Amino acid sequence: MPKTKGRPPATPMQATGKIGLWGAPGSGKTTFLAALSIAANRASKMRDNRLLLFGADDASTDFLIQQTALLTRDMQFPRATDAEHHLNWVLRMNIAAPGRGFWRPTEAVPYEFELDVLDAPGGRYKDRSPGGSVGDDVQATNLRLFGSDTAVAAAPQATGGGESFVTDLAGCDGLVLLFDPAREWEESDAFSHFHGTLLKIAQRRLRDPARTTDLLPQYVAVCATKFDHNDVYRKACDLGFRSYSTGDRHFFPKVGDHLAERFFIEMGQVAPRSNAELIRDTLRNFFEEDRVQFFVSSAVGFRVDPDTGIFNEREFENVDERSGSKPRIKGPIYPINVIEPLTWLGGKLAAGRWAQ
Amino acid sequence: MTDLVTLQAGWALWSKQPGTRQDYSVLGCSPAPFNRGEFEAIITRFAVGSPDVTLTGAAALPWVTVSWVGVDNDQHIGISVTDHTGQVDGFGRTITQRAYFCVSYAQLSRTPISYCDLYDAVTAQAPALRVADGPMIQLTVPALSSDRLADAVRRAGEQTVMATAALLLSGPVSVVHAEGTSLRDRLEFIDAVTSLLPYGYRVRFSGTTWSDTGTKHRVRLAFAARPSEGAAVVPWRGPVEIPAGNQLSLAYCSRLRQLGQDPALSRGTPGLSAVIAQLAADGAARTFEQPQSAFDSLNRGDLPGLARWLAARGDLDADQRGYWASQLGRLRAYTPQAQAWLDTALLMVDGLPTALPPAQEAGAAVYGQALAEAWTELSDSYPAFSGESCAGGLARYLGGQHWTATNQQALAVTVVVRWLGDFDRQLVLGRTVASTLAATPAARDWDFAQDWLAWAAANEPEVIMGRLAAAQPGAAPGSLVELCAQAYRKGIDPDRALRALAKSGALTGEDLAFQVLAGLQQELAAAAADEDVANAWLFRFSELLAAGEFGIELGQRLRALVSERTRRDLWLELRFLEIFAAAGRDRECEWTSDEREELAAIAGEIESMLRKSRKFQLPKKLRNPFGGGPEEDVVRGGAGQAGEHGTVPVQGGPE
Repeated sequence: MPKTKGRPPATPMQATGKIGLWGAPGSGKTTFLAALSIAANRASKMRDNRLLLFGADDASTDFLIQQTALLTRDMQFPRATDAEHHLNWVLRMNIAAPGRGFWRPTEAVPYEFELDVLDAPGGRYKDRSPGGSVGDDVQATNLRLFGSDTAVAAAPQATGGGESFVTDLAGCDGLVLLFDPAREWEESDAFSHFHGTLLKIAQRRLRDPARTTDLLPQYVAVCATKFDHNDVYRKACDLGFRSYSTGDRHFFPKVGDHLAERFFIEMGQVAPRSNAELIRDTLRNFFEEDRVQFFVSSAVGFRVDPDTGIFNEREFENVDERSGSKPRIKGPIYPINVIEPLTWLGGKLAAGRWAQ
Repeated sequence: MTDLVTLQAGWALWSKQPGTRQDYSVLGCSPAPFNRGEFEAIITRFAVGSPDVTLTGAAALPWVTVSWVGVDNDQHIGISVTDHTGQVDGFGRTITQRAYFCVSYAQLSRTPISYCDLYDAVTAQAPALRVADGPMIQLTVPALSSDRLADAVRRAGEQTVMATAALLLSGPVSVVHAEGTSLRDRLEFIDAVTSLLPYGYRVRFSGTTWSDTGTKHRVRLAFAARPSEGAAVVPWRGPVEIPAGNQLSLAYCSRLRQLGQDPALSRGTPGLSAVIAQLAADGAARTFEQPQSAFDSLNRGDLPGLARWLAARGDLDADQRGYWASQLGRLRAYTPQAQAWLDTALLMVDGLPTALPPAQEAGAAVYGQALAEAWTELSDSYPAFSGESCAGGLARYLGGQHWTATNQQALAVTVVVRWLGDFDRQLVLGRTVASTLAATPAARDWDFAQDWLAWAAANEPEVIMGRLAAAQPGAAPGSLVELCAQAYRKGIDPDRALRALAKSGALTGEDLAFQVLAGLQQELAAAAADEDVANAWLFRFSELLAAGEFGIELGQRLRALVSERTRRDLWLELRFLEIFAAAGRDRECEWTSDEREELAAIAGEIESMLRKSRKFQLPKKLRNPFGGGPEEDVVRGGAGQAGEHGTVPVQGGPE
């Protein structure tokens, strides 16, 4: 799509959308968000489609500034999330809109998307087994501890505790579900961080008398993360998923979008106890076919060889996990499929608005 | 020596096992008063963000959050300390830990403690917490010291702390610009602010020494780099603005300031330490959905101060008076003196007393004396206070009460009303009592009622009519005005009353007639007579005078007097208008469009009045009785022609 340089700026069409991030602890939710700003800037350059991501309020701008500095200056990953975090960002991009004549079926129009992003600790998504934690009896527990009053919230829209975050998540227009293959091979708990939450979303949305569809209405971008991780990348190569883009000046390996769903399943199948395929089947069962899209992503991307300026198969990892107690980013980061899930969600939601 | 309180505390440790890929969870806890899942629910409910262990300044760890949990009779106060562990998880991310403690509120409501002291007690215990379950722990905490908290309020800035406490009654508050402060400063601020609220609010209060703005937390008073959405903003030690529409917070803050004044400098104020002690003693559990209960608690010990505060404000509009009447109406006083002050406050805002005077004669005397002393003090100190207005309010209240049901209650009321005689110049209160007793058959047997009954009998309408008819020529104008006023109060028809006065021949001169007319006007205004009723009296009086009912010559003399005075006043006013409108080098009048329009309308009115008039010649002896006055000019302004009195219509007639 062309840039609009030299022309008077068109007033962007505007829409708002609430996006929820969903995934097990350590699946990279906060790192995904931290890398978004860098990803937007890199993607603008690569695709000649200007993507502007900026905060809609001071706290969200602070997050972008601090987290980008953490990744690029301090070469570190964000801290673990211990409380729900709300971010309000604006993503401005050009998207394909219905054209104004039969000879122009689509045209690029500037679109401004307000993202209300919810980042919750991964542990919140875990299914509670009977006799375990708060369990299914959350409401009863809250009633016993805090009275009938859910309005004791001091601040409007306050969250925290209980399962208010699930209600928040159920209210989202789009969901980004993160799946960490490396974690899955060790813990095989992706399904347990997925299934209970999905059912709670379904409970809140599918029983809503005002619903317009029998299936869940959200769009879901499923991201298999940490493609740059040594074990993940090697396995992708072994399974024949690796390809290269001819237009990429760094010659980064990638997994074609059409293979992303298969990659998701086969990466899961590496671990005998994994239920990755069941996650896919459940998603297909609860959401319309075209509302679920798979991506293979990496927040920090592959290392660029400083001598050649391109990907180096012999030293591709951009994260040093061995030389200290904390993993450290080695060099400049080139996020893979980090902004794309959001632009896909934005495009889908915008199209949905036009259809209305 | 400071009293110590021993408390059994439940606890839970919220963190991660180092090297694992699991999320934060309860790693260990006590077996009571909550189970593991409940501890998790409490800790996550009051989470205020994901602390960044690298940050310095106010955002640096540890973060201290005070909270609450429990309902009904099983309420607890919680405190959590979030701090470093020096460990990392399976992803290499630093791990923090939150040590949470809770103590039963039942004990604290009897022996209050401060959050700072609770923090000191739990930090001594935090290192002993294990990642495995263990027994409840024992904390030893000093009892709350109101003097120490008063010092904390002063250190943090009285104005800021008081305004913050008042704002908390209406919603969450974010404290900003506190980056350069220490943890102790911020925790002490939370203590200082909460010390200015009744202690019972702690069963619903939460506060934190730092929070992440991106987290939409539930904490009511939070320090943060940026204010939370929807929260009132308090700059650290800075000026705090309470929105004008937030009447309760404004009033609460204003009362705190009044009560907190140094008793050595301000008569009758209890001082900050005493206020804190009083509020700390009010441990009845309550929620922030009952903010007015804070105001009640604050005023409970100082009803005189409340009345003085209201008298000092003096600028309440009808809405504000209605608001305060309803707020004060819920207060209760437990001594006759306190009831007198509370009732005074109520009467000032057009409210009604909450109860009849004490039915015991002694109590009534104390109550009546206290009312009289209060009204005297307030009249001397506050120009806006009106004892007469309060007497009128008391009369309205008594008029709606069945206070003559018993001899004792009726006696009590009369005792009180006698104390208030100096404030009842219009006799509103006295007449109410007398007429109510007169309408009570049993009162004829009550000794104390005999004087009242006699007075009532003397004020019967026919008696008043008789006095009007028998008024003596040359009587003092004040006595004639009072007779007319009595007739008005008794609801006698003005025409009937004034004709009786006319027949008496008491009005012997135009000056006396004018004084009675003016005096009656003042009397009706002072009695807050309905405008239509007042006009009916004044116009009827004027009509009867003009029609010669008080004597033809008197009518003409009065007409000349009124005409002369009015015309002189008109000239004077016109001159004032001209003087103030003159501007510029030429001193020409400048008028705005509105002024021009209104003056033209006045001129038109005069023009029209003259056109519709007939020419009239005063009897010779009445011409220019006061000397001067541009009578010709006024006549020149009209279009009238010569003619006999009352016979020749104006040429041209009405337009």
